Amino acid sequence: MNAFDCESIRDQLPALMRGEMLPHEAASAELHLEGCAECRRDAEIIALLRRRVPRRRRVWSSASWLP
Amino acid sequence: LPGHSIHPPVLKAIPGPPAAEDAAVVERARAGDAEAREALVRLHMPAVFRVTLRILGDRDLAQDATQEAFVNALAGLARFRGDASFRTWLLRIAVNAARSMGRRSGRRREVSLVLAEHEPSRTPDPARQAEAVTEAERVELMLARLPTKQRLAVALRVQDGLSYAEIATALSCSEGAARVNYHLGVKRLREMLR
Repeated sequence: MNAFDCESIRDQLPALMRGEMLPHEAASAELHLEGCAECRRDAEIIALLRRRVPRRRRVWSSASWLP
Repeated sequence: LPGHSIHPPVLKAIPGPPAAEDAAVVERARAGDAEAREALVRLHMPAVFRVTLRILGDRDLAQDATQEAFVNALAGLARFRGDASFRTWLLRIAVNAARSMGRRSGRRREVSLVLAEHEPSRTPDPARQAEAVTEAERVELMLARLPTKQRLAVALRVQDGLSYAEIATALSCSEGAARVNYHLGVKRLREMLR
């Protein structure tokens, strides 16, 4: 049984990609994605946005400006 | 994007932002512990800088706004009551600092500077890497062109892992508005990338 409709899957995509969904929920979500081109497109966009998270380089060598 | 398979890379779990802050560190910082204050800065600086950069589009201004946000937050730690997480409370201060700095500076966002902040893909295959970089850059470019509320809602949810409730707190809006702005932003990205 596929418990996800398009609205709920799109709500859960960030959590799915962070591995924060329960295994059976993730499996259900993946099943939905296999059959829904529009949600797959959203998933791809979100995956690209996650891949492009700005690098966590140090902005300052120390927080010497702290009060 | 067209023709680019999402399976299996899209479904692969990607490490999220740093774990939630240790409440004990916040307490120590509130009590004046200098090491705890620096620890909070180190832990949250990346997220604060990302948010200020998303709003201002300028590294120098974003650094200034980040510094201002931390100074304001640490000076006002006594007002942090723990209703929201420290990170959410801090991001709200950062959003306000960036907006204030944007008004003071009167400078416009520069999309190219936003793009310059992103590191290349780590896809091993050079051909796929080039393709992925191009696609990712297009998505980033489109994200930078979204209206501010939509851009921040998408960035905070996708890149910083915030819930709608946390986004609402950070952006001083309702949870419903945070959800609507997130979905409008993603929908708009989808349309722009057709």
